[in-house]
Amino acid sequence: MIFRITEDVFVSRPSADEVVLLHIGSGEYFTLDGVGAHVWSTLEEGPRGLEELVRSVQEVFEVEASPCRLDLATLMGQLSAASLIKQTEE
Amino acid sequence: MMSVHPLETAEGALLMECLKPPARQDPARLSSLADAPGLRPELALQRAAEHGAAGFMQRALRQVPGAGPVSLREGIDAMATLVRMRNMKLATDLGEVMGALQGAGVRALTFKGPTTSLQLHGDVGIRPSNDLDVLVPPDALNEAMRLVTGLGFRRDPKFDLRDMEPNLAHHIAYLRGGTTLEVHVRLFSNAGFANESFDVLWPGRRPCTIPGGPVATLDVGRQALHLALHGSWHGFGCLKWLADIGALLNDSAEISWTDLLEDAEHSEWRRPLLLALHLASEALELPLSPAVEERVTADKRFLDRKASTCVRRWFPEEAPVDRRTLEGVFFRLGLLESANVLRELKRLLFRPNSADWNMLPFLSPRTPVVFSIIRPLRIVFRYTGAAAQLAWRRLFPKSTPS
Repeated sequence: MIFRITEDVFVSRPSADEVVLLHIGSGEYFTLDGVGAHVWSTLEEGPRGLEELVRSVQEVFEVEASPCRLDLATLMGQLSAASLIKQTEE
Repeated sequence: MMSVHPLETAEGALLMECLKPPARQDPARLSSLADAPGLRPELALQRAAEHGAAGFMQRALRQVPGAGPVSLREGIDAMATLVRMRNMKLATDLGEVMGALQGAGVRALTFKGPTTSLQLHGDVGIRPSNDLDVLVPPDALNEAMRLVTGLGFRRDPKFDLRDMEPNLAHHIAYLRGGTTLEVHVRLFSNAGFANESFDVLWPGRRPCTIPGGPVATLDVGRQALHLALHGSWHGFGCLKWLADIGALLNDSAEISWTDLLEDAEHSEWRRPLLLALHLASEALELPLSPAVEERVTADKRFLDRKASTCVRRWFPEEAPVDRRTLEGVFFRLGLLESANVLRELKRLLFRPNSADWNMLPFLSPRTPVVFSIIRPLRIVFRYTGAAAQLAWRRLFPKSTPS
């Protein structure tokens, strides 16, 4: 499963570790900071799978793989539900 | 060296440091200013709001975590969040408008607004925008009006189409929800620079990506000229305009200052341009190119005097330079070359508008008597009170807060 950012998102960066997202269709705003902001930046570089995101987070933050995977799966679910990212097979 | 730094107050000094381009900010100095003993957080927040500086202050203060009073940091964060959300919404609306225009084959350039924050300050949320500005060729105005109306924009009820007489008003204002859209057929209301053809501006356009895709904006030289003229025209009463000039000065690799100065000279806008550059250079401690420095030095006495007028009003008890006050009128006239003074006086005194016609409904909008009598009378009535107020302030000045 690959995650990619949808085209309906407008991004603003108050600082290196915070992103503000506007979903253009719904007009809803979202804020990500810390790990969430890092994950978003990684997705901006290109579509990523869950394991790639876990590795990317572990390179920056000191976190065990297993809880990190669970947390990222939750985050990806939330971002998908808000139509900020979409999941594709490849 | 002219002293244009409003360093008498801790709030002013902090604000000015925050308005510098990030590469020019000194974290140690920022930290020291944010923790200055005399800093009044509530006044710093007020100044940030007045000058559209919350986004700039947030960006700067995040470089120095923990510095400054908590109430100041929280207040700035709250204000900056509102600025960011508003700008993102404006950018979305702009994308919709530009998409409709481009889709219909209407050439359109956007300027000021959220694209300025993106292009000059690196993020849409830094510099607040009040409205959207789109420039279209005069012969495409009707089509543009039809398209924006189709998007749900309605003409501002205060706007009268008769203001669109040649060389008078330069835009039509539309409203939709909380968004104001100005559709321009010229960049500036006055002559000279204002008369520059859309066809001259179009080839130098540069892209800016906003929601909906890339849109065309002014080339960086024209953008600099327009921002300088706009800011000078309003006496730099709002410091976000000065931060724009500072960003251009700091990253001006694309700007040919010699060409820009020649253009300004040719269109008789030399002094407003030099005032903007001089003021930004002094206040934000930014170097000028040798070509600009030379022109500034040649006209330093005049520029210092005008700059002092601007600075006096940055952190004042009195109101900023306002075009509706007598002092504001003289400030603006003083920036103009002789030929433009006459044009501006003509524009100021002999401009017809709906209020004039409403007063004398039996006259045709083109009746010369209205141009020659009604407008000057209204101006006299309006400025008599302003002149008395100004004289009173001069005679009995308020003491400067410590």
